[in-house]
Order: sequence, then structure tokens, then C-alpha cells
Amino acid sequence: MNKQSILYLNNSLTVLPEFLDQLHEDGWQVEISNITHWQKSQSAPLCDIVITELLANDDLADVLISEKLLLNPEVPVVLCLPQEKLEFAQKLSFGVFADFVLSTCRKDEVVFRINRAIEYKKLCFRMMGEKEKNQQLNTFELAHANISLLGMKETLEQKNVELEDILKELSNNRDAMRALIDSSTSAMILVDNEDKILVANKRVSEFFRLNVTKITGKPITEIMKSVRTKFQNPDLFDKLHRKLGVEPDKPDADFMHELNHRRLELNTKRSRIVALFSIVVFNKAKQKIGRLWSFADMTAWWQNDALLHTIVDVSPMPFIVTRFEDGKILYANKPLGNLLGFDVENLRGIKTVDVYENPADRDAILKILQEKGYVFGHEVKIKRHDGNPVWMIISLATTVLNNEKIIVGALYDIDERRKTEEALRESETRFRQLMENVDLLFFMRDYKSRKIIYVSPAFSKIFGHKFDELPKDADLLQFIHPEDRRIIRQGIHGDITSKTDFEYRIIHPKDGIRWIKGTLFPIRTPEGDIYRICGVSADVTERKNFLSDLEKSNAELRTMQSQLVQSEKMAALGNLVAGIAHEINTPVGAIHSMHDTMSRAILKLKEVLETECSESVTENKKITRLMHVVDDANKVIESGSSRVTNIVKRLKSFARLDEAELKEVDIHEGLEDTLTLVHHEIKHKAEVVKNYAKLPLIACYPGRLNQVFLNLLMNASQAISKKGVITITTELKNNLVSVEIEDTGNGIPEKALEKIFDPGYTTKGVGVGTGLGLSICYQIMQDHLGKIEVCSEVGKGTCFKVIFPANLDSLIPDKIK
Amino acid sequence: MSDDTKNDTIVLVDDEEMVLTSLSSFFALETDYHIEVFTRAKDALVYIEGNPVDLVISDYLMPEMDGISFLAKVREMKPEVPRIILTGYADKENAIKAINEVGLFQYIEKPWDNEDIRIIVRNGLEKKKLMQRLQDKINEINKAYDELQGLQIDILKTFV
Repeated sequence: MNKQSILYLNNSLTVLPEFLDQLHEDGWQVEISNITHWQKSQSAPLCDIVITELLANDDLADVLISEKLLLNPEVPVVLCLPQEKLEFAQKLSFGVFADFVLSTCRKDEVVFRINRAIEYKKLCFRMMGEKEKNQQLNTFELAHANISLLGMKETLEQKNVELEDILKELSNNRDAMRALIDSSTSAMILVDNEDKILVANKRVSEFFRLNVTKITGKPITEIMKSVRTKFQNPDLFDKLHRKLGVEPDKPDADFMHELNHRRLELNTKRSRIVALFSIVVFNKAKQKIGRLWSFADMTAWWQNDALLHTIVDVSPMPFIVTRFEDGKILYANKPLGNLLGFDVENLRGIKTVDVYENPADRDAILKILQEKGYVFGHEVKIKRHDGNPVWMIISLATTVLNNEKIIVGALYDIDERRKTEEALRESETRFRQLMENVDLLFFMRDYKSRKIIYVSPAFSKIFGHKFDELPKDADLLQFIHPEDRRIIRQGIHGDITSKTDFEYRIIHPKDGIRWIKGTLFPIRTPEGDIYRICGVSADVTERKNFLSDLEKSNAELRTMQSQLVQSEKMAALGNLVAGIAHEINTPVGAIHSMHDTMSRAILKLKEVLETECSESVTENKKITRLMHVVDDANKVIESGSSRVTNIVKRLKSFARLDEAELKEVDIHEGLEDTLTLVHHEIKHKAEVVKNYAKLPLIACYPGRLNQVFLNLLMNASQAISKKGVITITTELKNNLVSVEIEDTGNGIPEKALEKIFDPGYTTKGVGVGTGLGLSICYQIMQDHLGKIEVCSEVGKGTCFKVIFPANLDSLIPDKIK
Repeated sequence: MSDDTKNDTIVLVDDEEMVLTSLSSFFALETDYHIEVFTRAKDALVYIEGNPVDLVISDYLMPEMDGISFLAKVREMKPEVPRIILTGYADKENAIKAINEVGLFQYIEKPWDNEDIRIIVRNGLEKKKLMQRLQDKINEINKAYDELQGLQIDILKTFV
């Protein structure tokens, strides 16, 4: 720290403190001056620091010091106090001085304080400098603000002018408002919070013959007393007036309803109908500032209303007026009441929501109404009072009546029509369901234009084409079988005057040729004129096939039956033959045996005769003659009995009761057996020529094959009228056995030739033949996997040839065998 | 006409007298068989029961009792006697069935051949005799066997 110059101000009452000498010794420049003198000198202290003692007058010390010292504020001041003044010094130092030292202080303490004071002063000055700068800036800003203020002042003056204009205009508006209020058809009285009349319009005087200017400022109750007398029913007015005055006024939803209730009749010179309203008036701050009484002139409205009522009441059509907002019925006429089953009076106030059978209908209608403003010809179900729904057609329009959106509507009862329609639709649905699920094709065409009106979906089933997909001018004949088009042409294009059936074929794209059975019939008007042609077609292929199958199987059955009869006959014959054979065989056996025995006996007799008789037997003529007779008798008996034996054997063999199954037999033996049986038939008529080939044993049904031979041989014999030849030729060729029976008879005409195998066909006449013979032969040959052929020439003869495989046993499965 | 045929008794049954006559005549003429003829099966059965019989020939279709039943009874009584049926009936199937049922020696169809019958009868008798001989031999063997067994016992006794 630098050694500073110190000015010590001494009040000369005290001794100089010791530290001064010590400072001086340390190199400090110390100047001592009397405080009183120093103050009088008025000069600024030229030192780094002032150490001063207090004046004798303690109270003024600070002032004195400060005045003098303030001349040079940069110099710090330190107080030097005696010990006893410490308390005072402490108080003082916080006011002006930076610091103080006690006179008894030691040098170091004083130096510290001096330095601190100097530092503090320096700091003070630095801060002072900054403050000054800030002050300068503020001054600048102030100047600036001043200028702005000047500008604002100007603007304000201008605004003032404008405001004056506005005020002027406002006063004009007030006039306008006045005019407006006056021009209202309603009488209006505005009162303040004290119910004193603020303003009343001209209508008030007009309605109630009151001087408007006179009543201003008067209490409303007073005026009302006068007003009430003007009404036809003052009590009603009182009631209404009281009610409206009490109720806090609010926008009433039920406007029309209220209107009715607010209706008052003025009993003045010119009769009026007015409605009383009361509205509380609020200012911007929503404070009540008064109330407006308004008497609306409803005369015209009521007149219109009456007119509307009259029109609507007179209309036979149901009319309705509802409020858009909530759907309440405001007005309805009697027909509507009848329609819905209500008294007209009760209808008012009902909400239309309850009237719709389906509430969604109402929403839909309202939506349209909102979009378009009207609904025309909407069909909807309405609920009657008794709950039964009724179909209505309604037309609605929205309009505004007395500031409310309303709906005016006319209804029309279409329930009957709707029911008829529904019934019709139901019946049509039924018809359609029937048509679409049946395999029958129905169609209908116009009689005159020949245009097709309806074709049922079965068309595609039957014809394989979808009718709708056909080109419009498609010729339906293209589907018909060419040979049957003629019939159809008549059906489609021709005149049908009565029910006509026909059958035809079509060409189905998938199934080929199908048989169709159709019926066409005309539909007549009540007058009897044909106006439509209807047709029904069905695919009868199946049935037709079935029928032909049936016919076929019927024929087969008949053949089988006749065959059965025949085989039954054969069985009976077999049994008979067996029985007869036994009966015959016994005597024949006895004869045969006895004859043999007799022959042996005669032989022995001869021997006996020869040995016993002396005469040679051969020489005895008598004996020889007798012996000749015996020999002849023997021969005849033998051939006769053997023939009987043979016939019986053949008969047994032919019947072949035991051989109904496939068996290997000698065909020729069968032929011989048969020939034996028909011998009586043939022997007088024909010569039998046998061209037998060498045949092995052939597997066949012997009994049945014999039957074929029998039939053919009998036919051959019968074909010969007088004398002829029957040639039997057998052959084995290519593993096929053939037996040919040819006659030289009358022959068969060509026409009959194709029918001879048909069951029941005969040329022999009733009683002679059954007509089954050849059909049975045919069937038997079928069983032999063979065939029967015929060739014939009239006048020359007929040749039948049966052919069947020689290896039948390997061709026919065991089961059938 | 061998010696064997001597005393052989043959029973003939047929409801037809003529069949009996013709057959018995033939046998009488050509053989030495003793022939017994019956028109009724019942009578024949009585005879067969009480007399030695070597062969029976019967008709198939007869009243009262048919040939099959009759021969079945004969078998019951004397199974060793060969049985022959003679039939005029054409139903071979039934006949074969009958043969199997009753166990016939032979089946002869009417009308028959005398010579056939003679051979069949001879064969039948022969068969019977052979069977008899066989039986005799068997009996002999059995007897010998019994004796042998007795001997064996004796031997055993002796040794033991």
C-alpha cells in the first residue's frame, strides 16, 4: 500500500492521537489542521484521506463535515473518536462516514481503516460513474417518450373529432330507432327497473288512446289500469299481465300454443286481436335495465289462420301442421283425426314421432325435408290410435309460420291399395317361387304382336341356354329338331284357338336330343277375345325312354310268360309222359319179356319135338306150318313191342325231364326223338330227308332244343298242304352248330316275315296256333347264344336255320348253367 | 344154369300179375331158381322174414307200399340179400336217389331184356355168395383167432 497524504483535522480540544506520529514515522505525509479553521478556509482538501475529529458540538458534526467534505467527494473521510464516543460514532458512521478510528487505536488498525476507506471511496466513485451514465440514458429515453406523447396527443384530438361525429350519428340512429319502434305493428312500452315508463311507441296511443308523451315517466301499473279497460275481457288481461310480469321472460318453445293463450281482444273502435308479450331488457353487462311490454297485433294472423283452418277443415283430405323442431302437431283437421282414430282436439300436442309405425321413417322423411324442403308422395306406415298400422301416402313441405319452422302435410289413405299391392306381390312371389323351382317351362306371349312376355327359368334347364342371354331376335326354332320344327312353328307363330298338345324334340347343347311335351292354350279377355298364348313344356325324354323300356320289357315279359307257359306245358307233358311210360312200359315189358321167354320155350319145344318125336319135325307138315305161324307171330310181336318200346323211349327222351340244364348230347338223337313224336303229323305229307353231318356231342339245353325242333318241324309240316319234302341238314362249321329245316311248303309273305318272331303273331288262325311258337324258338336260341334265321319264298318253301356255338358250356357261366 | 343157382330163392314183387308171370316163366324156363312171387309187398315181407331168400326184385310204383320202402325194409331184415328194382317210370333222377338211399344192387328199366335180367340176377346171387363166403372166412379166421388166443393162454399158463 502506498503511503498517502493524510489531513488530520483536530478540534483542538483533545490531544493528538499517538498513531499520527507513528504514521509519520512510517513515511505517511501527515498534515494537521484545526477543524474550525479548515472549515472556514472553504478550500477543498488536497489529500488522499481526511481523518477528522468531531467538533465540540457533536450534533452538528456530520453536517459540518459533510458540507465541507462534499466539495471533494473523492476524498474519503475517517472519523477519529475518543473511546467514550464510540457509541455515537457507530451511529454516525452508518450515516455519512465510511469508517472511524478510535484515538487510542494503534497504527496498524488505523492504516487498515484508512486503506479500507480509500478503497471504499474508490468503489463508490466507480459505481457513481456508472449511475451517471444510466441517468444520461434515461434522459434520452424520456425525451423520446415526450415526442411520442406529442404524437398521441394529436391522434387523440383527431379521435375526438370522430367521436363527435359518431355521437351525432348516434343521435340520428336514436331517431331511427324511434321511427322503427313507432313503425312496429305492435304497441310497445319500455319501463325501467322502477317500472317507470321510459318510452312508448305511437301504437300505444293508437291501441289504447293514450298520449305517449304524457305517459312517459309514469309508473306502468298506472297505465295498465287504463289499458285493461280497453280489453273485451279485462280479467283475462290481468291474469296474463300478472303472469308475464312475474315470470322471468325466456324464449318460449311452444310459441303457437302460447300465442293462443296470449290472445286478447281489444274492444276499441277498430276491433283488434293482440297478443301480449313481456321481455326483460338487459344491458351489455347483463344487468337488468328494464322490461318491454309489447302488444302484438295478431288480427291479420288470426284472420289468415282462420282462413287456413277453414280451408283445411273443409278439405276431405287429411291435413296436418307440425312444428319442425319437435314434431308436435300444431294443427290437424277432422279427416286426419278420423284416419288416425283420434278426436281432432286430442291430436294437438301429440308428437308425430308417435304416429309413425316405424320411427326410422320419420328420420328419413325429416332428412329429405331438410335437404329439399319438401317430400312428395312418400309412402309410409302410420300408426292408428288403436295401434293398427295404415299405409299412407304423404306429401310434406316445410315453411315458416310465426317465426317457427313448420311442416305442412297432406296425407292420403292408401292402405287398401297397399294391401292389394302386397297381396299382389305375395301372389306374384308365390307364382315366381313356383315357376322358378319347377322343371316345367312356362311361357306367355302376346297374341297379336307375338312378343314373348314371360319365360320361366326352367327354360335354361330344358333348353340348356339362358333365355336372357339369347339375342333378342333369336329364333327359338334353332333349338328344335329339324324334323319337328313344323309343329313348333305352328306353336310359336300360329294361331292357337284351343288347348293344343304336341310333342317335339329339341337339340340340347349337352344332352343332345331331348323329347319335350308341350301344351299351348289361349288366354281370353272377359269378352272372349284371345289376347295371350300360354304354354307349358316339360322334358319327357326320361318318361319316353322309360315308356319304351317298359314296352320292351313288357314284350320280353310276354315272351317269358309264354315261354314259361310252354315250359310248364312241357313239364306237364314230361310228367304225363313219365306216368304213361310207366303204365305202358309195364305191359310192354311183360309182353317183351314173355315173348322172349316164349321164343325160348318154342325153341326148346322144337328140340324136344325133334328128340322125342320119331318123325322129323321138319318133315311133319302140320308141325312145320304151325311153326311158321309161330315164327310169323314172333316176328310181329317182336317188331310191334320194340316199336312201342321205341316210341315210349323217344317220348321219354324228348320230354327230358331230367335234362333242363346244359348237357352234352347228340343233336341227331334229339332230332330223331322229335321226328318220332311228329311222325303221325308228317308221315302222310312229307318225305323227311336227313343230311346229317358227323357231329360230336354238343353242349345244349336238350329239352329246349328239342322244343325248337318240334316247333320247326310242325311248322314245316303245316306249311305243306299236300305233299312235300322236309330236309333236315346239320352242320358244324367254325365252331358253330347249325340245324336247317327246310320245307317245300307255301312260304311266308315278305311282310309277315319280319313279324314271325313277334309274340302273338300267327297266320294259322284262331285255335290252330298260339302265335308263340317262333317267339319261343327265338328266345330259346338267345339262351343258346345263338340265332334263328329264316328265308322264305312264297310258293316255294321256307328254310329255318338255327345256329349256336358248339362250345356253349365254356361260354355260359356256371351259375346260369 | 350153373349148379350154384340150385335152390337159390328169388322173391319177385309186382302189383302186375303179368310181370310176375313173364319173369317167373323166364326164370322157370332158363334157370333153376326157386321163384316166389307176390303182388303185395306186405306178403313178400312176411315170406322173407320166415324163409331163406337170396335175392329180391321189386317193382317201383305199387299201391300200398312202393318198391323203395319195401326194399328198405328188406335191407333192415336181411341186409345181405341183393335188391333189384324194376321200373317203368321215366324219372331217372328219383331212381338214382332211391338207389343211393336204399343201397340197391341194380336198377332195371321196363321194358327189360330177359337176358340182362338173368345176368344181373346171377351177378347178384354171386355177389351174395361171395359175401357169404367172405363172411364165413372171416368167421373162420375169427374162430381160429379165438382158438389161437385160447392156445396162447394155455401156453402162457403152461409156461407161467
